[in-house]
Amino acid sequence: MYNRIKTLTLMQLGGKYSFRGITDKKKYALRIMFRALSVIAVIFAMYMLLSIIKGVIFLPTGRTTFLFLLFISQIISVLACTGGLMTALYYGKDNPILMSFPARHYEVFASKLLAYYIGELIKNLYFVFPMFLAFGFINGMGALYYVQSVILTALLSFIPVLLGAFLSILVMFARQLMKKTQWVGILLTVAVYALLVIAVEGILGGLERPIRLIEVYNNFVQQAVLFMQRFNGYALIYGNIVGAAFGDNVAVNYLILLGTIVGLAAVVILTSMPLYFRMASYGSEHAAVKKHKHGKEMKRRGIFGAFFRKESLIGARDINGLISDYLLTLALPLMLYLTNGFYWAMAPSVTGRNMIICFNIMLSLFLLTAGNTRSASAISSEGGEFSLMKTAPADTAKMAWAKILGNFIVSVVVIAASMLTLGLVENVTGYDLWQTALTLLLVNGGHILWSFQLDLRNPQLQEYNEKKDGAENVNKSRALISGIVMAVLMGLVAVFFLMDGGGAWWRIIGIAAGFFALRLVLFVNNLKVYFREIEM
Amino acid sequence: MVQVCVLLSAALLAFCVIWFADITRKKKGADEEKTNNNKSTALKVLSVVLVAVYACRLFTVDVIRDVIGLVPTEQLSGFSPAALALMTVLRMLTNVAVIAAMMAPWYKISFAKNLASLYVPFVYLLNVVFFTANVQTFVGQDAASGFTWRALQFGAECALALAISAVFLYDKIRKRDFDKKQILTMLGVLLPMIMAVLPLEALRTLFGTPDIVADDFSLTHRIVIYITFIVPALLYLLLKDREYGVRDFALTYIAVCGFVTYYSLVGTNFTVSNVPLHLCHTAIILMLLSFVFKSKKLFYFNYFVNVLGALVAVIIPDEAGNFFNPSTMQFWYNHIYAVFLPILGVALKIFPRPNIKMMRNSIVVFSVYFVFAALINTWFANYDPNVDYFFLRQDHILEFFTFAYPLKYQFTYVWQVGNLTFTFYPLYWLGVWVGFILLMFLEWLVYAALFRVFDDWGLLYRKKRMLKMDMLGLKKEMDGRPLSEPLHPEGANMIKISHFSKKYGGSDRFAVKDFNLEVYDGEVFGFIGHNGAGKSTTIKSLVGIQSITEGTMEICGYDIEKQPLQAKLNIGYVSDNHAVYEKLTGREYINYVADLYLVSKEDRTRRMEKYVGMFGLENSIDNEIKSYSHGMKQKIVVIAALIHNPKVWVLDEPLTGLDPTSAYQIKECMKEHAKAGNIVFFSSHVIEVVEKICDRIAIISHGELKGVYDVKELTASGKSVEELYLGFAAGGAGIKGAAANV
Amino acid sequence: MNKKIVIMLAAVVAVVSVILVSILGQIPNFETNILVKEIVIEGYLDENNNLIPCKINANGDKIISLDEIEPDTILVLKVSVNPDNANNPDVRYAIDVADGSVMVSSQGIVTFNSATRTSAIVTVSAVDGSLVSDRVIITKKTGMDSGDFVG
Repeated sequence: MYNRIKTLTLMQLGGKYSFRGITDKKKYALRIMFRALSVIAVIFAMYMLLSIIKGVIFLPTGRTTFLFLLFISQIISVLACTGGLMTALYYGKDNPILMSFPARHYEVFASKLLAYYIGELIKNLYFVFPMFLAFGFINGMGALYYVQSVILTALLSFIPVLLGAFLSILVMFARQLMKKTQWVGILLTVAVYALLVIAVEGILGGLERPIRLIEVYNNFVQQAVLFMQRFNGYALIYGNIVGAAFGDNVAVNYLILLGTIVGLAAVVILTSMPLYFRMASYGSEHAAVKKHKHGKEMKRRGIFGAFFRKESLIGARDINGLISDYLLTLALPLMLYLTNGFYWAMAPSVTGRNMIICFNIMLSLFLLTAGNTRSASAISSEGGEFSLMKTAPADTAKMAWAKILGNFIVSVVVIAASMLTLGLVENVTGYDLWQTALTLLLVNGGHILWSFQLDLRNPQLQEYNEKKDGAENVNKSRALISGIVMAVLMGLVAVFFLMDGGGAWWRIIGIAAGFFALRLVLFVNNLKVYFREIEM
Repeated sequence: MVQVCVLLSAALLAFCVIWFADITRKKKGADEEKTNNNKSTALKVLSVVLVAVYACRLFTVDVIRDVIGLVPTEQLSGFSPAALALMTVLRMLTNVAVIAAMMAPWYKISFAKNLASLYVPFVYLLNVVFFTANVQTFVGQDAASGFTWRALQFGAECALALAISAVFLYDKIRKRDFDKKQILTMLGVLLPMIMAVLPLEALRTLFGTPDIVADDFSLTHRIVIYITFIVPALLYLLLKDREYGVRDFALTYIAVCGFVTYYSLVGTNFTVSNVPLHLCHTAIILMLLSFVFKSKKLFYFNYFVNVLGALVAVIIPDEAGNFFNPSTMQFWYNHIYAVFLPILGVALKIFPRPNIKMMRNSIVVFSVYFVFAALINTWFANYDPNVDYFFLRQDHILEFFTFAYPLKYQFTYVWQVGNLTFTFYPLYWLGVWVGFILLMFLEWLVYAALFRVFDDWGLLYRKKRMLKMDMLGLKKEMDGRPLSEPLHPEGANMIKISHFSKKYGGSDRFAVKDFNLEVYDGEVFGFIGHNGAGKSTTIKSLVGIQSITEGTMEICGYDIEKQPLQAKLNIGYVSDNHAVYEKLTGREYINYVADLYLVSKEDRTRRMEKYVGMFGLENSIDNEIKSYSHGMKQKIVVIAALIHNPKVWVLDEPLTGLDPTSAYQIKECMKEHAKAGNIVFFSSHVIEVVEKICDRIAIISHGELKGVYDVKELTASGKSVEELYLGFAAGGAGIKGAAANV
Repeated sequence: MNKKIVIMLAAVVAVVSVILVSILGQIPNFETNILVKEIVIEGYLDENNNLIPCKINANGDKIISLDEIEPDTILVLKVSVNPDNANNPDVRYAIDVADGSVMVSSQGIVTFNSATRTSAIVTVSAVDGSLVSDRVIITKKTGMDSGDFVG
């Protein structure tokens, strides 16, 4: 059994990590050295960060802060592991291969968990371990602390993996339910959004006006420490981990930690393991057969109408994909409401007002442009079907407009909703609102065109043809980067002209319009020239 | 008297040059080219002498500099405001003329010749006419009444310039080279040339000192910043398509202008605090040397180091004086030239694009300069507290980075040597050095990005132009016929492939080479070959998915490249990748394709009912395609390909992975479609199928057509397609006796 | 680059923006605001950075008297602001000459562009709204000057 688990684990690790094929010892050593240097760099960066926190922000950097940060990071880790393990265990592309091996299902399950644990351990080597060391340096800890850091990092990595394995079953059930009934997904999203709105209202309602951060800074630090202490009360096993690291009741704490790990493993063995095969094969057995009503008439549409209808149908039947693409964009109204609630609670001066406009533009563009990745994969997502674009006797470049129209519509709606939301915030004038809206429309519109152009010039048709939804598209990364750059530049342009005085908005809108016009011209010309050159 | 001497000297010099060149030719029987070479050499010698003579004037300060708003000073009390204005304008014109006279002998372009032959003599004759007034504006009326070496210098300058221009004018008259367009171009460019080398005091002399300051992003400051970017953009657009000589002349002219504008103010009044050791002041000298002597090392130092420093100076200037002050004008000229001249040098291909090695060299040179400037500052500060080369001593940089004050003043080291005090700010200097190096790397990234953008735009523009040319070519070929008609109407019922070759991307190898084929209506034509033979390549080029490297492909007389839309209207295509939109239902997919092929409502309804019934898809046509089996997906694709009843039906390996029933249904469909007078062209690995349903076949191997065979004839002669195919697959010539009608 | 980085960036920018607005963009709290109480023009700095103090004339005006005033003559004023811990110790310089023959920069550097101007009045005032200011008359020495000063 152990040999089989070992073989299966090594097989999965071989697929993930890039040390295979390196036979040259020198190259191997160089690779190891490079990774070690990366860890050292992270330790150094964390140490500098802690020094700033201590010396500039005046927050304490002792046990309380360490436990707080460790706990937060592990919560995120548990959530990430739950999602990651759900995919790895039940939707893994290697499942058909592994299941067909002469190995028992629980051996496959164990190998998957083990492979995931090793991945988690490597991740923690770049994050949790440096955090241990940085806190050790800044608190002047002894040698034993550093030895324990290694052991505790290794032990600690078990917890999110085991918890994730257990929670993934629950998440799987929820996911299957959402797949069967699409409205559950939408309802859940709306419910989460509503909760966030209530939370934001709660935070803003509790603010003392006007907020003077500088004056209340000492109070803020005290409250922050109290909050961390209260929060740490829920840290459970992590309290024991930090206690052991700092030398309190070491033996007891280690016993509790090991006991917790063993207990979690037992829960996983008793719950997740038996259900594994059933859940893993669920997907292929229950491919949903969806019947759609159709109109009796076979309506004839123009070229653009045909493209747009196709895009709309595909989009409507993949709500989860849509939400995933536009999640950040949809969060914009809430984010603006929260930040502006704070800004305007501070009694800003004229300079402050200008800064607020600058930050509103910057933050809005961060989130709006993040949604334009849909346009950055517009052509690539056609995959093998792009051959239809090449063989159809029509100006199929019109598909480009149909593809990006959806993106435009969403951004217009979100911008309008954001400005309406901002209008609810006291002291934000209508004058600034529509100017801001126009600027955002123009810049984001230009970015949508730019994103599509990136995909046009470098389509990943083969990648999408082979991997479908799992395809990686470098154009999306480029679109994200260009969006961030545009956001920062536009924010700086806005604040530069606003600080200057008269006619500022016209100059800002002029620059935004100029950017949009430039991108439009480039888009049209690139489409004319390069669309026909795309080959499959 | 002086004027006469000057004119005579000029005439004599010109005569000598012309006579020497001509007499050499006549005596030695030399050809025209040798004569021109001699003349050119003589002119170059004169220009070098002119440079030396002019330098004497450049490095001295003239009294007219003190005139403000045309109000005569004590030294020029006899000049009326109009006279002062005239002399100022003459000085503006002379700056251009002297540079033109110095440069013209070194450039074999007609623009330079026109300047030298027409503009220079005009200006210098004016100078000769107003010789006395000129000298008075140099040294004052009192001083000019006696002997002054300035008169001697200016006389020599006029003589030399007139001599050079006389030679050029003589050549022009001899060759009757008076191109109106070129002369008008020269006149059109004169104003910018004058602005490029304006005497620094000219504006103040003419207009006084209105309250204009270019600082803190005032309106004037912003206009200057816009000029810094707009002027080089305009220069680039105007010069990019000109010959190399014109581009070189333009940029060298600007480099000389930069030198002249800077040193016209400095004079010989050097103190320890105004030696040209500031980065941008060294840039002026380096730019001149790099453009004149085409020195790459000096040029790339400017490109990487000085551009950055000058740009920072343009954006956060340390010159807050009145804009019309000579020192302020000098500041702006100096820095604006330092910003754009190196960039234009690369953009206009006078110097090649740099690589990272050149940047590394520039960093080394900059570091040496940096250390030198820091040491010089600390030494010279003993003699003049205003010394501040590269702002390493005083607090100009710290005004913008106030947090760094402690870095400078808490880490100060003082070293006393005799009477001399040396103050060092090591940490501050290190910070400035690191900051500048980081900015240089950022600059490298910006340059790289800009190069990519410009290359891309250039390529886009060229491709767009090619598309236009192609369209014009097609119209010419159609010879008045509408574009909707076939290019070759005689091919209305066939597929014709002529000398088709295809190369992929950067590969040297042809995937298909010199492929020729004709397929006629009513045929089911099979296309067979091993994996990687070139079947899919040929088919994809035929239906317009891929481009054609060489040759032509026509469908029903329409060229697939020149008349793609019309050609594609006649094609139905079933691809080899079986990709379909899985979230659409079968009906929605077919409807979508029907829209693309402009099929009417009635036709699509009728055909869909027929084919759905034929393939037994009634129960699943309204389900999402992702629930279909492989065979069902293939049938949907087949229906979609036939929904517009194409003349040519192309299928790429249509039977792969199909169950026997599905395969049978599709084969029947193919036969029926051909029987209706259409063409069915398909590729396959399945020899038995090919043998059963095809009328003719083509065999392709390693990108070459091996043969076209009539299946019936082959079978009648007792041979099988399989044997034939295997013969080619083994590298042979098929089988003996199999007649190929290629 | 994926969207998680955008979320983190947006979060960081949001937090930083709140902090920056609170530091740089708030209307000052006048209850705890320390205003400038006094501005003193002490004199000017010579080439060796030595302070040449102002003189006071019979009318109680501060005077800086120069031997020569030529084009490009430069004078660096030395100004002190009390108290040291004023929230905003910045000052604004103004000159009573509009034709550009004399100018004063925001660092207190007086530049004479013409020899024709022989006097100018420079006023230095606080910018924090406290309405505190001082002024000095810069003038070219005449033979009659020496007896007029009281200090």
